[in-house]
Amino acid sequence: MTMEVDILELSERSAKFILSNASAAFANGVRRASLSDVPTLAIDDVNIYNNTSVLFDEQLALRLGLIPLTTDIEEFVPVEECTCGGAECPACKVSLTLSAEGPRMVYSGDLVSSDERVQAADQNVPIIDLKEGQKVVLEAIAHMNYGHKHAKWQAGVACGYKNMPIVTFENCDECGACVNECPKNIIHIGPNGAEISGDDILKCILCKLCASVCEIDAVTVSEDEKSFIFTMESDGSYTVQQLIINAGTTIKEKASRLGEILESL
Amino acid sequence: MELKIIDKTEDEMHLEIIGENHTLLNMLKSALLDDKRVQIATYDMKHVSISDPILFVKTDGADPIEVVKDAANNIVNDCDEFLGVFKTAIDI
Amino acid sequence: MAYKCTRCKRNVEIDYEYTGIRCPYCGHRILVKERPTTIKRIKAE
Repeated sequence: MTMEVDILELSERSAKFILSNASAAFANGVRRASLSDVPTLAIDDVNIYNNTSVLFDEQLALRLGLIPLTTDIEEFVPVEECTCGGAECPACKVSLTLSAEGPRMVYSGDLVSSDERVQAADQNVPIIDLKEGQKVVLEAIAHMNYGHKHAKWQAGVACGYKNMPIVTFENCDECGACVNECPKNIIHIGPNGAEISGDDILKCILCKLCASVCEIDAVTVSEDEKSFIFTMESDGSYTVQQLIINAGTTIKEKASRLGEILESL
Repeated sequence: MELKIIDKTEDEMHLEIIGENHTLLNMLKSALLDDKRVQIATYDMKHVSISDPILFVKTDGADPIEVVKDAANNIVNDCDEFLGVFKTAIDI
Repeated sequence: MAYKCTRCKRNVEIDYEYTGIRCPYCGHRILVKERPTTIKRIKAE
């Protein structure tokens, strides 16, 4: 059986799709890889020249680190894997500067990047509110790394899946108990008793309240173990399409590396 | 990734896969269990963030290294298939 | 070491032996340490 992908929703930052004829291990692999194994850029070191704001240097640095930066996965490599050997060459490091004086709110859009491809993914993330006479001057150094090192390098946020729900109604007496019980309000009474129409089945959360409330056991709830409804969201480093493709590619690279090593034994 | 064969007989193998985690190992285990030659396939990670996983494979007599190699190739094929169908789906 | 008196805003030196923590100009007893001008490198985590 070949895998099938059916896109339900797709935008720049988020996607919803059905993956069918895949194993649970594969679905989980894609989910785990997009959360922790797809490298992305994030601010890692901060050189603080001046900071007379109310935040401590460390807190300011932490806030800067968590700002998503747009990343081109082809152009950068993690520092540990770079050919420069940790000397920080342009392939593994991007420098951004921030210089602001109060009174005003400093946003992520105020970061000035040395590389035009690397910008704050959202321009409106508040960094600090400066009052009259307060000043922040700093240089931030972004490195590429993986989500399993630190959450700031997580390219995928809110990635998850559920199995495709299967709800069947047999010999329904149209009492309407399940209609009222369903928290998602997707069951309604049709010509042949209770039913769920069209894409409403995707909203089912498999809570089985409809089955437990039915007095004549007309409702059965089960799940398709080979079919998954995926919800993926990117932090803005990549488009969500690139995120999913990168996740698939990293798993493939890991597996082929394993094959190669075993071949050479 | 580095491999360390902890012990190996004709039909059994303990293989430590250094630098990997549940992402690859769970897929590998499931690919191994789909193989008819495999009788037991499981893995253990003592601690989720500080230990390396140890894969255990028992076959019906086939060389365990060959079996794991085939499983790895199956994962590569699965990924290719997924990337292919996903790319065609987003082009529409 | 650079300290600053919070009342007269002058830079002062602390005399550890005789007067202790006290501004030699105005006698105020609250002194603050100024931020050094060196660049501080911090890990963002």
